[in-house]
Amino acid sequence: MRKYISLIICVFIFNSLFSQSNLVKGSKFIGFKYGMSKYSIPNYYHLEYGACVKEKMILRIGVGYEYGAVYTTKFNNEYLNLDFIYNVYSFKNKFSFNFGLGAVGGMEHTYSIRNPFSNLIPIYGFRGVGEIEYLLRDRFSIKAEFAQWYLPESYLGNLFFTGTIGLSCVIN
Amino acid sequence: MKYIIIALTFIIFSCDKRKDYYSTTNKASTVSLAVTNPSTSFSTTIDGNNITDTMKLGQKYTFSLGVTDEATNVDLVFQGDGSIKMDGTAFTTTSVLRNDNHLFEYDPNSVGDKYFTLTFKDVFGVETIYNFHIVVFLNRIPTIDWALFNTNLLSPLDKTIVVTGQDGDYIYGGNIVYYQYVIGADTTLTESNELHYVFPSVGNYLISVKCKDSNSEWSNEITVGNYVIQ
Repeated sequence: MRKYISLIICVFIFNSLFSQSNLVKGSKFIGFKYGMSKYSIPNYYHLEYGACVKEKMILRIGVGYEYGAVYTTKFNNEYLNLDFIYNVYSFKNKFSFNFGLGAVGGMEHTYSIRNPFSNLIPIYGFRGVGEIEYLLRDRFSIKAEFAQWYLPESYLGNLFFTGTIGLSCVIN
Repeated sequence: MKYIIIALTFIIFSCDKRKDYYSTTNKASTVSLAVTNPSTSFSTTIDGNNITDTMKLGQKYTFSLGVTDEATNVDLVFQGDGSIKMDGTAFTTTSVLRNDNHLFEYDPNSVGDKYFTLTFKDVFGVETIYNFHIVVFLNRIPTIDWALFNTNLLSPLDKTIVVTGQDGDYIYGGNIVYYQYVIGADTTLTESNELHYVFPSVGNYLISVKCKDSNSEWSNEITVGNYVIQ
């Protein structure tokens, strides 16, 4: 909880320095998200770089790292995401509601806590993203993202969801 | 509003089906049993993991178990009557067992119906259980018969008594220690099941034969009061 409060404070401090929306065509932004899945509480980290390729449409690439344990199976996963985000609703350029679909690739490292077994396998799939974004004086925004993942080759099971909050900053 | 509904639908129908991979793919230990008693082919009944057998008190019930598991070790829990040794070492309840063949020696300690279980528990707690029911008896006496044959080496009165039969528990390690032949007033004790005897004259004789087993118990006694020797 303390981490989340710190994050929000940081957002407001940086907010006073910049001002530009990331939904304007040509704008680029970087962002960081932090959150959890059901079995990685709260150990999911995501760095992203995005570009508004068309009005209301964002192409976003990101890397994620997640670690946790499903009972006796520990895991740490690295993800590479490519998301197409579409802004479906915007309120006074301040509050945005985005949906997106993305491809996922990465590596999954699982190991048992009961015996010396481990596996490192490539994973791939896609995910659907729902995102709420609140623009803070244009350049900075805070985001809350919910994503449903589908990774058919994952040893951990092919479906899971993540919830994250984060900070995004327009860089041009 | 519609976007809120879409978002809520998205969240409601989201699902997380992650699973404990190593637990769900874990399999119970594979255990193969081989009873190694001499009496095995006569007395052992194996129904799945349930073993019913008979043994003689004083003997050891021996068997080997080959254990295979994904992990290197499993826990073995012994519960029940009697005592058991694994690879020559006694243990009371629990022992760590590596993947390999292991020799077991069960000692029932007393007669009666003995029950014991061997539980192989892998690192995820999945169990493979072997149930043993061993009927332990103290002794089974020999059952014999005899016949008289003409030897005719020295005279027509030279005869041989041949005893047939075995100890009642010979398949469990019991044996006949000696035979007792009573002919008239002569009593002969010998380890042989054959007795050469030269009768002194033609006539009627009392002939009685019995034997004693390794538990010092007599067999049935077969007596003919007036055996005609001619």
